Amino acid sequence: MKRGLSLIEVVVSLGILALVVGSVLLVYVGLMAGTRKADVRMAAVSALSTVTDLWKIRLKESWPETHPADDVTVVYSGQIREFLYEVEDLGRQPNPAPVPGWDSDDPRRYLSLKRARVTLQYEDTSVSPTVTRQLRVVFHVGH
Amino acid sequence: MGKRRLKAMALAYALILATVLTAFLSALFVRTSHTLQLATLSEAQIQADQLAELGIDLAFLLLRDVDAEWYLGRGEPIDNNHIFFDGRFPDDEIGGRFELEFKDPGEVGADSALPDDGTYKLIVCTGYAGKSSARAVAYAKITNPLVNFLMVAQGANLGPESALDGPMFINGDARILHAGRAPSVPVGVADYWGGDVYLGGELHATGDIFVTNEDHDPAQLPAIQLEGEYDPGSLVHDDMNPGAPGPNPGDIPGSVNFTRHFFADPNADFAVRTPYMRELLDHYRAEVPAFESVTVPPEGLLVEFRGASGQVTFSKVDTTEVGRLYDRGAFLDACGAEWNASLPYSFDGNWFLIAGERMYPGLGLQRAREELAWDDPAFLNAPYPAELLSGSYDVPDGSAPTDPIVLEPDMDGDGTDETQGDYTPVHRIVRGLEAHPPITAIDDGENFTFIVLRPHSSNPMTNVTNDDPAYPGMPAMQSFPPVYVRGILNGRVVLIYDVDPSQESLDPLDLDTPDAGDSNGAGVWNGYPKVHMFVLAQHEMLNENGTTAFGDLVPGGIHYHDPRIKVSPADPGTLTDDSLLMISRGTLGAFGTHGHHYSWLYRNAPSYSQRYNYREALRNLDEQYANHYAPTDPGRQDDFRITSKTNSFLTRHAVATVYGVGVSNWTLNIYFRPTYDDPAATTLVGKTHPNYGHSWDDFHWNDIPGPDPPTHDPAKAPMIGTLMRESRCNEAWKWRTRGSLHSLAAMVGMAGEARFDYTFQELTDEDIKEHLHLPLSPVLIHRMTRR
Repeated sequence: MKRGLSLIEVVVSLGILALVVGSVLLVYVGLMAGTRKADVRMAAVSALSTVTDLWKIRLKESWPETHPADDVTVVYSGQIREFLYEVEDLGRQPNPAPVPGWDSDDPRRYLSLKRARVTLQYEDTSVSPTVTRQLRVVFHVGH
Repeated sequence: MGKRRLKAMALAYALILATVLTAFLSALFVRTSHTLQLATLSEAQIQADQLAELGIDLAFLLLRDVDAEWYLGRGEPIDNNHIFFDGRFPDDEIGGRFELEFKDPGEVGADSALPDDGTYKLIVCTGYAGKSSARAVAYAKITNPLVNFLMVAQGANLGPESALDGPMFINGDARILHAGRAPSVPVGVADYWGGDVYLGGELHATGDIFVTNEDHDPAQLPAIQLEGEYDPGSLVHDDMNPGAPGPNPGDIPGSVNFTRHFFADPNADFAVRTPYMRELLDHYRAEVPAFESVTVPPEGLLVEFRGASGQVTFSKVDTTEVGRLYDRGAFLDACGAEWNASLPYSFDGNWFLIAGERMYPGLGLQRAREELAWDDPAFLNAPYPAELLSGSYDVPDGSAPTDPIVLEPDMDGDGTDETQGDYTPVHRIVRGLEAHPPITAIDDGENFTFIVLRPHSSNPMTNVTNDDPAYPGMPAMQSFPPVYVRGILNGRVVLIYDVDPSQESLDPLDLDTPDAGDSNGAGVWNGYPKVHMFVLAQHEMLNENGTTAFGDLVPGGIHYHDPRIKVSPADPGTLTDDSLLMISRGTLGAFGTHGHHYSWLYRNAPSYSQRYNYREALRNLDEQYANHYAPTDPGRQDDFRITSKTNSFLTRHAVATVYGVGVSNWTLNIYFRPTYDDPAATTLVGKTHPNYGHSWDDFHWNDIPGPDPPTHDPAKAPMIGTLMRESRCNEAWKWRTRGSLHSLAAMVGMAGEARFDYTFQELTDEDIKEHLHLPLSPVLIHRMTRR
């Protein structure tokens, strides 16, 4: 006996297909929406990481030859991609373990270790209206 | 609809469904992966990474700059709030916290990879920020860099004719020079030098590592920067062939050869801390319980290691004249019988022409011919130019020279008596009277014998009056008596040439770094170190001392009695207990008779009627010593060679074979010349341009008068007088080092062969500290960070 698909069978088949496609699409779109905010931040964090690495190199290569009492903070500004950033060079750090007998101006009273702070700004477009936010990392450079 | 058709539709439906699902799931996977990947990159994670790195940096800097053993007794992890850190690294200022641990390799199962006994340490630091954490690990070696590297210096010029095989660390730039051109000479003039450089092992630098020429505008060509790993092979820099127009550009001989796997690491994480010479000497004065003290007499001191007996003997330096060097012959020798101005590097001796060009750009050949009447068919009988007859010597009795002074009857057949300006006496250093009873070196395989040499207390300085026409007006220089060292060492010795603390003001050791641009400044000359120790490359000759009471003849250079040297880290272990550490408060150099001047230049003393076959004598001595010492160990015959050959310069170079560690306060390559009346006691130390001074060369470009030296008129300066009458007849050219050479305050200019003796790397931190009494310091081997 020959028999074609009934109308109901065709409708059910297409319905199942639509449900599958729809549910997958729903999950994907939901995920996109949910991570968009994180994406904006991630791009900024990525830039922050890059700035930190670059300035570690730069501070090391431009290591001062003067006596290490460089206790005045020096601020550098710059831009990486669309992000503005600021690097504060906090200078060399006092030696936590000075040896008795060292002169007061003995250079070993400071470590060959600089502390610096990088602050990066980014626009959070995932909210309305857009908000300017900051990321900040403290890093140290040894020489 | 048939059953078959139904199945086909079902299959198509399933395929569509699967395709849709696959496409969407793939997109979902990509997106999720991206999200998860970024999720690990957070502000807190970056901060945690930085904190882990901070802990490593801080630990290393405290080890290096404060106390190499500050971690001892701290078995438990310490964090940034530990009392040791004195509140300098609070959580709120560093963005989190870190925790630091020191481990022995065995604790983490790494002892097989780090075989040294107690020298390696692992530094582990965990950084915490927010909910993130990261871990950094570093391998450090708590050692002394002087025994851990072939070379440690504030900079290095590795010149042509050098072969360096071993780990090196340069606190600054390392320049591998294969060719150069003296300043002020136009491009194309035959004034280049060059040669092969052989490198193996590792080279670390806090600066950059270049393969470059030492040229000057406008021919300065870009350097090649070395970085990473190189397989064995050759590297040819373009400027090996200057390619410049001119009469004699030629090809600069030489290339850079990697003899085995080579690793170049510029911008190393941290400079290696080496003590200043003052610190090192103070350390020894304070830490070493027992010294053998020897006074250096005014004549200078000859220190000899006497082989199997283990004795170290000390004698006053004496000299004997072994020949005379005649100007005219010197020129012929320097230029060579096959002298050809168009082939500046093809034949021996063309450096004379090159140097002439340096003095008289474009006129060197003409000047040479004028001075020596080269064009005169009766050359051998031609009179000398008038200025050559008034030499720069003092007469032997110290009175002022008169012109001319008849010293000998006619010897060169020119119909006139010989005058003062006609020849230069050639001296050898010989053993004089005993200066101190022998000392027997400790040979227990553990302890060292410390021998401190100090100048005699009365009138310790020798005034060296500058009578050099090339540097008129230069102030007199002062020098402590020189010390020469040679022989075969059996045992362990630390040999220090220091001054008595009461003499500190005479050689204050707080000298400025040499200023290459101020070579004629009196202050710079006065600021030079005054203590000089030389490895004497000159072998004892059979008839030199008229006695063999000491037994075997003493070879030049320094050799180990037990020749089994660990020359590879893969060798099973320490093979010999013989060890030598030489520390010179000032300079450390090599000195000896070389084979540069050919036989017929010399006439035998005392009659001077016979030519002295000097080259043949050197060759005979060379073979004699090799045959005497080598049979028991054929692989060592080169250790006792007097000369070595080179293919791009003159035919034979004297060598100073040195086992052990040499430490100087100053640049290791030195330029010095003996005065003629007493070459041993009045060693004149001159300034060497740090970029030019190399021990491979017996004359230095910068000691030839520049184009416009103060009060110097190049039109009147006799070239031959300048070059040959001041020729250093007793200077060794090349180091052959089986150990290491270090310069604590300045640059090392290196030439010759230098192979690292891994025996020193086998020393434990206890050996280094307790027996060798060297201060410990860390060497950062490797570091990594994990999240």
